[in-house]
Amino acid sequence: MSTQSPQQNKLVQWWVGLLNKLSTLAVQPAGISPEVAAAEQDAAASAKEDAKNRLKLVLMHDRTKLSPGLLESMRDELMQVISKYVEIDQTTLDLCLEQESNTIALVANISVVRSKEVAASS
Amino acid sequence: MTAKAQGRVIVVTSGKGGVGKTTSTANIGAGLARMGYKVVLIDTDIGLRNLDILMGLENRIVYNIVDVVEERCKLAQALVKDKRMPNLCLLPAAQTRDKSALTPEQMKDVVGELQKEHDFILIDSPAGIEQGFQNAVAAASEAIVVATPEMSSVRDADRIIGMLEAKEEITNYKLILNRVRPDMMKANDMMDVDDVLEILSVKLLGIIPEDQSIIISTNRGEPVVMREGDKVPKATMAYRNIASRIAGEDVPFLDLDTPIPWVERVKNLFKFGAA
Repeated sequence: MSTQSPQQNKLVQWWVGLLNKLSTLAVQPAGISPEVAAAEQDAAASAKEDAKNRLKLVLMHDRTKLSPGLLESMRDELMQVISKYVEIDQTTLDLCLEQESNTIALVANISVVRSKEVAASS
Repeated sequence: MTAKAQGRVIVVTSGKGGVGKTTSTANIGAGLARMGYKVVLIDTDIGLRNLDILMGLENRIVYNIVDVVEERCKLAQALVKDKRMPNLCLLPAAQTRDKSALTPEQMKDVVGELQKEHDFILIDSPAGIEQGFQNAVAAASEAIVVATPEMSSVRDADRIIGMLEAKEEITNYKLILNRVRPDMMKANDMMDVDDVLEILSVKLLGIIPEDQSIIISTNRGEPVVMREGDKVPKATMAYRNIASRIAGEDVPFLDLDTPIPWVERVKNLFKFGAA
């Protein structure tokens, strides 16, 4: 690019812009300026998906009346109980709510390192 | 009591404020009246009444619902008749009192009386889930939940739906999705109709597009559903369809898609290319 004249450079930019425009034209909706649309596309997920995912999570907490704080303390207590029997990787302990069709499930994902007995005998 | 069947009692509610409860009540009521039904609208937002403004009846209020339950007037005296439609009237809320001026039992009495003379009793609920909402719901057997496709509105609608489900008297409830913006939905910038229906697992009563004519109608005190002629706004059609569906007709949902003309697309293309 550095060997090109400013005029050539400008022309290239124009063509790149035009091609970009063409490639997005088919999917671009009305009412959004091309600049805004291009900027929005850079974001990993669409605003719609963000809203849906955040809302689903909020509603699960609302519907079960389980606040994130409550889940946290439940997580801590669960960890204590489970640690009595098995050695677990505490950093990976994940406790969350998941929507399964009509029911809401409490899902715990815990990495077990080994059982306590094995750990004691070794 | 006449031999006539009792009127249907429908509460319009949302949880969140400002999503279009009162606008929907006014338009559905006027829409049903336009079809020839005898309709009464009840404003239960005591202290913050607004249904009178939307109906353009604010200057004709003499008595209100609190006057009726406190026996300062007869029920018929408090009803404000709409001059445009003789089969439509409004029972206004009191503006200088608060929600505690009315109890659910009193609501049931008033509505029971109105049911004898009207085909539809539409109750405009205040925002929130406190006593005002409880009053509004007390006498209803059907509910319309109004929401916009925004997170906060959908969250509050979910809460309201939970409360409606817990009430045995409410036999059926449906959703009106208001302020729908097809352009933003198509761009994935906003939740679409299916997203909201899926999240709330609720049946759809109607879709109202975001429409400037609603603001103009409010300013004039004439519900948008009352516009007549060949070229009425989309919101007019949307509310007419909702009224028909409530009356039991099978009306397809409006297609709000307005594709951008190719001329505009080409213009946009050159604007960008030349920049």
